[in-house]
Amino acid sequence: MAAASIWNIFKRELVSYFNSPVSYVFIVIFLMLNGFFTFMVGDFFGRGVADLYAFFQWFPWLFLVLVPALGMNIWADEKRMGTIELLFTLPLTTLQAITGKFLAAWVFLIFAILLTFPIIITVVWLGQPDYGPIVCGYAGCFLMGGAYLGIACMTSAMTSSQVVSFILSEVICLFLIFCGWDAFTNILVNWAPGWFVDTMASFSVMTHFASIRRGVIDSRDIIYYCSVIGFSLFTTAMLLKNHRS
Amino acid sequence: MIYSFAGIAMALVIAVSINIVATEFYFRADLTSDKAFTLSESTRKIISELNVPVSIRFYFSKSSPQAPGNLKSFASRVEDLLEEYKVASRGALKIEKLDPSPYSDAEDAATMEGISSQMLNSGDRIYCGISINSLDRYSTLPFLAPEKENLLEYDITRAIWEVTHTEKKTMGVISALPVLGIDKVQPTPEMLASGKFNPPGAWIPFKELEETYELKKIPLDASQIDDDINVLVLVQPVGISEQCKRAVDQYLLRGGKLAIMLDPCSFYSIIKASTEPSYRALVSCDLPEFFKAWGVSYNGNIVLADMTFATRIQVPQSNVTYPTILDISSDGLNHENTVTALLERIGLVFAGFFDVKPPNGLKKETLIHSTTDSMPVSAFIANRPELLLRSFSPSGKVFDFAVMLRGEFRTAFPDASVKNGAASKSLQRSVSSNSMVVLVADTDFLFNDVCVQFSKDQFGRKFYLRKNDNINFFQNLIEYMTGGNGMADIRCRQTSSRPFLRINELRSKSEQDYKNKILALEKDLVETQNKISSLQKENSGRYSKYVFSPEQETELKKFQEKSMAARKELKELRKGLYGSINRIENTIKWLNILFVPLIMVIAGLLWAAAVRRRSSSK
Repeated sequence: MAAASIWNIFKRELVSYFNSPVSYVFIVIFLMLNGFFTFMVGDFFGRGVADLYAFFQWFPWLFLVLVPALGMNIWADEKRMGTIELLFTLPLTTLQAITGKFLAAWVFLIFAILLTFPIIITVVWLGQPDYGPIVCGYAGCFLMGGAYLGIACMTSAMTSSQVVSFILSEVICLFLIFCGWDAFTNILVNWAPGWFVDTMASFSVMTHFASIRRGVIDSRDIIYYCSVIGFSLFTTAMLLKNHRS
Repeated sequence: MIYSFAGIAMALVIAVSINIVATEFYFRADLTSDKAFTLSESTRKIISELNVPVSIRFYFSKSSPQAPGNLKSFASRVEDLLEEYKVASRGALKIEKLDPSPYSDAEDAATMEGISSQMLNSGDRIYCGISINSLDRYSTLPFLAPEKENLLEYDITRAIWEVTHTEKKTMGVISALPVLGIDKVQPTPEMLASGKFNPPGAWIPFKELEETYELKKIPLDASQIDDDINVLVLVQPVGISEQCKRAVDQYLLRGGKLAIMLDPCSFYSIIKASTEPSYRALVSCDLPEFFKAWGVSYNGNIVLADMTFATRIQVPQSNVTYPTILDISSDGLNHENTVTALLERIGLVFAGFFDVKPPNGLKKETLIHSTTDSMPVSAFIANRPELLLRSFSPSGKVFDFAVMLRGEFRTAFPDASVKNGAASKSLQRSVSSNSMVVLVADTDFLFNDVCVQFSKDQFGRKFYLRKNDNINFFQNLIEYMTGGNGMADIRCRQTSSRPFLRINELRSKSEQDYKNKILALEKDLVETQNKISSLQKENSGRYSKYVFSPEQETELKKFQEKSMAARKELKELRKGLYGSINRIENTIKWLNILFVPLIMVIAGLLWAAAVRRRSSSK
């Protein structure tokens, strides 16, 4: 019963993504930026190694810019257009609605990521890559994208303005990136004890992504991303419950 | 509102706690094909047995912008590896990462610990080394070479082992060849005259063992082998005295471990004999008394030729096949025995073979053997491939190059007690089941040129790479025989680099064409130059050097035109060389960037058109 309601919402949302021209613009920009960064800035050919290191290293930053844009609409739109009350008259719980919408956005993001398949073909044609890190890299992208999306969901439930939601989720995601970024932690090291810096680094999306990207599936990384998603969706539910009551 | 804030705060605490708990109880799956992020079993074992704190300091000039890209990515892999060590040690290992930027404390520490730096063209110094210490014992890897990345785990584990184990096992060496280097060399007049007086050091397989074992040189006429010798190695022991042989025999019977390498045709001695005639006697060696007691048949004048394992050596104008210079692949190695289990390639030069029919009480295990496509030949024609090929016909038999004997040995000198008269304490048979003998019918496999390739790294420092598994074989052997620290599996790890094969193929083909054309052009230029100088010589009488005759004028003009044309052609060639590669790269680039976006745009437009049609038809 619960699964059916989630599925209905999921289907409805997913179809609306493909009907919206914004989604196509999103995908085109995402893919072109990806290609640009991989080949021009990432020096794919200069490295001379048949792996996708130069390709994956940009994802945290690309997602930072694009995923909040994807997620800002999820609840802010409903609130703005007043359809949220309509939504909650349907026979489903808040949690089911949230899950359905989130899953639709996530599947759409995964679809966009998978459209980068030409790079896989390229690297297989050029040499003999190690498939382990490639599979893990994509898995890491899915999880990281899910985490950013969860945060975007959460911020879009906080406000009815898309812009505010976008900026809020940008800031939070930026914080999650920075706490593990070398340039930042090197400054921290000067005035904070070692364990504090290490703990901060473990909050970061970057460290966990780098860890998966090597080709190692570590339960700690999976739990990290799942807990970010879980926390975001739970908070979304808390925020929306007010609306219900 | 308060309710929801409390709820969110609770959720945050729970999320963070889950993550903290996850750090303690985690599992990993290493999906890389080389298992590059998993420590080998031996390393784990050694680390888990640590009962003293060990501190590892990794010095790397991370903040230096001039550090080469490959060094930076190598350094991050080193950090990953050290992280693995830390995790596996559960607290016993402390890892510190330091950046010795100029004038920093870290740089002083690095210099004090013996970490060496490399000077770049820009004048900056970069560091990339590891220092390991436990209590008061230190070990340093002064500069890590990316080229030797596959041995990094072995070097680190070995250094950890060294600082935590104070007792080194002792390896005794008896040899007529200078395998341990020449300590006191009398310089010959030629050496002094040439100004190059460089006494050769120990052979590399031995040199590497110096770090983990105590190497003791035992003279060819020793009267006694001490009990503290954990393994005794004999390498081409020509001229070994009678009493030394008896001492070796008794050592074995007491439970000692014996490794004997002897050669029917020592290539090293043949080469040295051309300048030092004393080496002629060292070309062939035999130990008949021992072999009789062990049931071993060996002929010091016979070498084995094997067509399957033969190496093809490129000489100008042709390739020559040497059936006596063997490149033994996995097929010739015994993968059931720990010593050879993980080896893939052994190189032997002019090796003999053993035919072992062990007496009761002894068991033989073959370590390295030939194929059936082999034939025993006289050592005299070992170095004459054309004669060998002419007379070769496969024997259909498999011959043993290296064997391991275990069990109950009998003395090789049964007359000892009788000769001495007085009640002799010499043993007649082995009193311990520890006795072990390994026989190898070649000594050249230990020689530097046969087992390693010397090269210079990007900083111009000399280093060497293993050409085959010869060193690993020798080290595995010694380690096995001394009941060692079990580092055989780490030793044999390989990390593969994954280059762009297709582009490399194109590049090497183009470079080959390019090189040939350059050589042709240069030859042309040189000929023209010669013509001009010969003309000048002719005219040296009639005209002054700086005034040219009409013939010279025309030749000079021709030369100038030719050299201009040649330079232009070389430029075109260079453009063409990289042209095809650039074209491919550009095509790939634009395909990746634009292909799918274009499809999406088209798909989007089609979908929009379909939706509009549907809604307009309603």
